[in-house]
Order: sequence, then structure tokens, then C-alpha cells
Amino acid sequence: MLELKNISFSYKTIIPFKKNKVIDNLSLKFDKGLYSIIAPNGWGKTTLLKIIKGFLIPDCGEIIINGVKTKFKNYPSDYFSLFSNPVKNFYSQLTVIENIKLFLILEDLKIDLEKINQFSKILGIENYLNKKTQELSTGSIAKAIFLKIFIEDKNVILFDEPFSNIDEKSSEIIKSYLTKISTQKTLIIATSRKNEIKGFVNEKNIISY
Amino acid sequence: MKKILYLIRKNFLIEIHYKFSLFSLFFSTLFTLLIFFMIDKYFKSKISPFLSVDYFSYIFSSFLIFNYSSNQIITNSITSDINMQIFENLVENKFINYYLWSLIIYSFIISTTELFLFLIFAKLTGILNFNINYTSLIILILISSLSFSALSIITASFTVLFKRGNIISFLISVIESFFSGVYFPIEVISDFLRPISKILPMTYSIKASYKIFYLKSSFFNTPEIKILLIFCIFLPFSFYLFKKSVYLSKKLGNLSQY
Repeated sequence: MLELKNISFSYKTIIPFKKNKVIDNLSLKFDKGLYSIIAPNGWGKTTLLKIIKGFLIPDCGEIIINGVKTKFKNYPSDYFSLFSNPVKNFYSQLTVIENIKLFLILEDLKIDLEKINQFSKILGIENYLNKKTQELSTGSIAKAIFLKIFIEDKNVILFDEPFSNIDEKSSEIIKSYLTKISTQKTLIIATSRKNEIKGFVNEKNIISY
Repeated sequence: MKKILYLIRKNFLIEIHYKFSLFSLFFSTLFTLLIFFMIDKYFKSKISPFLSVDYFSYIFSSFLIFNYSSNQIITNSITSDINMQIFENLVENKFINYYLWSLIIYSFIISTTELFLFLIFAKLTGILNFNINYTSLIILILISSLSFSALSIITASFTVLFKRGNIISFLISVIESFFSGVYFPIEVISDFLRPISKILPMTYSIKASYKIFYLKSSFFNTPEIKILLIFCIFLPFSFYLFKKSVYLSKKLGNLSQY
């Protein structure tokens, strides 16, 4: 279970010292299952997901994982996977498979080539594995990041606008896989478009702002 | 170790992607050395009184050691990772030590490859008369690389936080090249400024390189290497400072901004 308690975050500059408050006293609770946060652009969805992942440290508040209060100095980032803007996740000069292998090794995870091939076929990117990321379309890179996330198999998976670059057919395939694994994991999808998650995320698990 | 190897491999693959980058590194060193070869040829009498070897021999050894610091591989790699906005993925608490060590080792491999290529080139062309103690040379480049890396990582910590660390890195490089005797022996510098030379690890590396390249000096007869060892204590401090910068940057929210 994942709980956020009174989280506030401001982006700051040192010289001159400026503060731009983005998240103010936010509390949320997530169990296993599929959740969605729907909010307009600029609300702070990406910021919130980055805080949960450990890429940002909040000004105040607590993050509790399975009843244990986390310390930001030693935050368990490896408990989470984050799907964010495709171009920021992979080295463009490396192939898809090289990128995936690098991050799996850094995370102490096994490189299961059979599993990678299996998922790449499902996602329709089996011919792209040995292509450099810069040769791929944004949609194909997004699918490659889905592939990495599925292989990582983390307990909590965070998605920032996951379907914005992906065609409808692939979106449906990914959604059906996410529905399947949602009984075992916490999946949080942040989006600004409600129609993307309509009929996919249970109404009671939709947090709208 | 596997993590470090994969990160080093990643750096090589990126370097190879830009087909001419390794060649340009080699040729920029080659042409810089050529300039000094010409200076030595035509202004020998003006410079030689301060040296016990010819000017080009002096420059050759000092420049190849200076390369370990001036190539700025560590700072450039970190800046590039920040630019590509992939940096936050690489500096999770669990990875940060591996990330830094991979950069130190990668920088060492590139500079050492260059050093030995130039040694072979100089031997084949017969333009220099070496009397190298290779064991001491290996020890010197290892220790020099560690002490220079500390300075690079400290600079990179500023890049992470203030995003404009390249200026600091450039300044350090200029100060080092002027005060540590890369282009001329420090005896040429006025007494008033010479204490600055003494606080720079590069000064000791260059002095040691001269002794090792031309006088076959052993590790025991090269006290400069022992002094360089003292500078290595800054390495754990630089790691600490880098981690602190990443932590602060996460608080400011500018980890992936440039």
C-alpha cells in the first residue's frame, strides 16, 4: 500500500531565490489496483509522480510504503517504475535492447531475453529491438519504455500520460495487460484526458481535479 | 562490477556513435603537440635554460598527463546526461557510486589509450629519447587520474546544482595549465604566485612525469607521487559533495533541468 500524507512541493531557484508552489498539502492513498489521476496541464501530475518515484523531494509531507515511513535521504526508488516522456528515458544513441539491458543491470534485475522477446512481440516492436532509439518514432519509443517497465515488474508502476503517443490498437493491448496485472500491483495513471481511461479504470479509483 | 562495466560500455557506444569524436580527440592532441614541436625548433635558445631536457620533450610528457584532467570527460558526460534529461534515472541512491566510478574509469581508459598511442608514435618516429620507467608510469597515471577525478567530480557537483559548471571546469583547466607547469616549468612563474602551484595536484604529476619519462625514476625516487596520494583523499569528499548536490537538486526540482 502506498500513502502520501500532506505533500507540498515548490520548484525553486537559488539565484535569485524564487519559489513556485506546485503541490500544496496533498494526501492520497493507493492500494493494489488501477488508479487514475485526472487533472489539467500544469496541475503538477508529473511533479507528483516524480516525487513518488524519488526524483524530487517534497518540501514537507510523508510517503508511506506498506506502513513504513520512507526517508528521503535513502528513498527506495527501486520500488517504483515510472513511465514518463519517452525521449527522456532512453539514450538515443543506443539501441532499444542496449538501453533495456543497461537499466535492468543497474536495477539488479535479470536479463530475461525470452521475456523481452515475448513482450516485444505483444507490443509489436520485435523488429525495433536492435535499432537505435533515435531512429524510432516517439510512439515506438513509448512502446519500448512499456517493454522495459513490464520486464522490470515492479510493485508500483507510475504512468505519466502513457497513451498520448500510442496508436489505438496498441493502447488497447497495453490496457488489457495492465488490467491483468492490476490485481497484483498498484498502477497509477496520470492524464489530462478523461476519455483515455474511460471504461478502463474503475470510477471509484479515479481522482479528478 | 557488472554495473560499472555496463555504464562504461554505454559511454563507449555513445562515443562510437559520433564516428569522428575519438579521432578528433587524438588529432587535437597531435596538432597541439606539433605546435610545441615547432616552438621548440625555432625558439629553443629562449626556453631551454630552464629545462634539463629540450622544450618539446618537456611539453610531450606534461601535456599527456595534463590530458587526464583537461579532457573533461567526467564533467562533459554528466552535462550531457543532464541535457538528455536521463540524468535523474542514473543518480538514484542505489546507482550513484557506480555511475561516478564508471566515469572515472572511462576517463582513465580514454586518456591512457591516448598516452600510449602517442608514446608508440613518438617511439616509431624517433622524435624523442625516452628512458621510461613503465611501472612508475602506470602508478603515476593511476594516482593522477584519481586525484584529478576528485576535482572533476567537485566541479560536476556545481553543474548539477547551478547548471553552469562548465565555466568552473574551464577556469580550473586554465588555472592548472598556467600554474602547474604544463607549458613552461613553474620556475618561470614569479615567487609571489608560486604557492598556487603547490596546491595543485597537476604540478606534482607533471614533475613526476618528467622524472619518469626521461630519468627512469622509480616510484621510491619520485616523492611527487606520494604527495599526489594525499590529494586522493579528496575523492571520497567529492563523492559526498556530488551526492549532496543531487539531493539538493531534487529538493530544488532542477535535477533534469539545464
